[in-house]
Amino acid sequence: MIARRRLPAVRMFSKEFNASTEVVEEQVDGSIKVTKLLSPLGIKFGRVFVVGTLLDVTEAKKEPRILRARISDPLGSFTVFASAYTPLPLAVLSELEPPCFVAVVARPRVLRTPILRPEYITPVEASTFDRWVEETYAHTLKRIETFEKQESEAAKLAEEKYDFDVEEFKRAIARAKEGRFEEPREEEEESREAEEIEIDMTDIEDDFDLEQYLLQ
Amino acid sequence: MVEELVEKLVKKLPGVPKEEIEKRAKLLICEFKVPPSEAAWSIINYARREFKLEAPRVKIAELQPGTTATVKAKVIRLFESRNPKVKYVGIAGDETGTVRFVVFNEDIEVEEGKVYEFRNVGVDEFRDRLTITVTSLGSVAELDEDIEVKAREEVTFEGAVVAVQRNSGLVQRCKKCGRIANRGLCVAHGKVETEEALRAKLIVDDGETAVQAVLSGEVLEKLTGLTFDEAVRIKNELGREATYDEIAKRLVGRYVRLQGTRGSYYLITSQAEVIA
Repeated sequence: MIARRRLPAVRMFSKEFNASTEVVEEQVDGSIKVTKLLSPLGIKFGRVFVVGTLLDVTEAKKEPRILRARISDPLGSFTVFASAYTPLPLAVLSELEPPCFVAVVARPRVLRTPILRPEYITPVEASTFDRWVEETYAHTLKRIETFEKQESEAAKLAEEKYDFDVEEFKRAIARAKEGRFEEPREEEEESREAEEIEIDMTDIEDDFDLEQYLLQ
Repeated sequence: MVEELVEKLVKKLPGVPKEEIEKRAKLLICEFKVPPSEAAWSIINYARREFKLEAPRVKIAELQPGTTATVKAKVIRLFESRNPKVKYVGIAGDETGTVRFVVFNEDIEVEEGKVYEFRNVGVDEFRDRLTITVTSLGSVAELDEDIEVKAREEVTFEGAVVAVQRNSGLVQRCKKCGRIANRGLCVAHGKVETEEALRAKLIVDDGETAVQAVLSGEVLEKLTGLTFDEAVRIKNELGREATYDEIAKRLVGRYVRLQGTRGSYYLITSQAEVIA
């Protein structure tokens, strides 16, 4: 009943996700490599579950077709790229009308910045979003607690590699839970207006999802 | 080296005096230069013949990986193996639990629903599942009795649906046994007549644990709001894959509460509802 080999879908707010720039590759079952990211709170994760608001869908590249979607949560936004290698999400994104609530199950990757490579994107209800915020808040608090104890190897590595303001983050997630939002800071606004990133299909991996294959 | 082997063999050969095993081991390994792995096999065979050993009778719940045992169990489910060396793979149970069994010997015949004594089987843990293996050292004897098989544990699980696995949507079931029979081929019955059915295999994840659940018929219809007839309409208009897509679109990302029984590989869902 329990799928032991499967990477759990971690609940994470955008602020923690977007700061997860360290890539960790782990060996599973001999020669199979799994790409994970290290979060500033000391967790190595290879799958993410996000519920947020679909803000916009733009064409990042025409040929081959790549769509970029921005999905917001109470602390900021996630960037999702869908291509022919992710056919179901590509089809769904082409049909959705922002703004709407969406759920994303995705593999995290770093493409200059952390991005999400979706396995599924689906339209959901406001109640789904509310529950996700509650759940992610609880999971994040637990992660902070474990991180501050600095007992695991991953926690120590995160402490070393990142300059993450945990106190400020605690305040931000508390505000998020209460339904109060972040005021965008000046630098963030500017970087959004910066030039569109050139996307190449070689950036987007076409790794055969061995995990799925093993589970069949 | 000899010591290590002797220790391992003492475990596998209960009732055989340690000195006998030691004597035989030294003879083969030291005097006749037999490699330890070959010697192990030979000593086991020798000891079993000489001492007319039968592995201890145990209940399924008492099975220990790394030992040899004799267990009385009912064959609950039989699968044809994809591996040419293996004759059967299946699940057997008694009142204390269930276990996977593997039969290599071509001469052995078993049937679903019958009770057997699996004698001198090897016990291992393979892919997180307790398995008993019938090799040339073991045997299977049919028993003319019925035994009660442990009822499956009732479980409840809450989480978000994070994946819909293949063979979900409108699928074809073998009319004889109900197994999924894509393209009219049943693993147990070969080419068969099939009937259409709505079913889904989901992965439900609470952030720490991922659970595989199987839902069919009414349970699935109630959860998705998609009726069998609507699914057939979708299949006729857009193809069978579109029924998979429809299930995925309605379920992935939603929080669900599932109730059912703990099967060997799946949570067999009897009740399911969307909670957010």
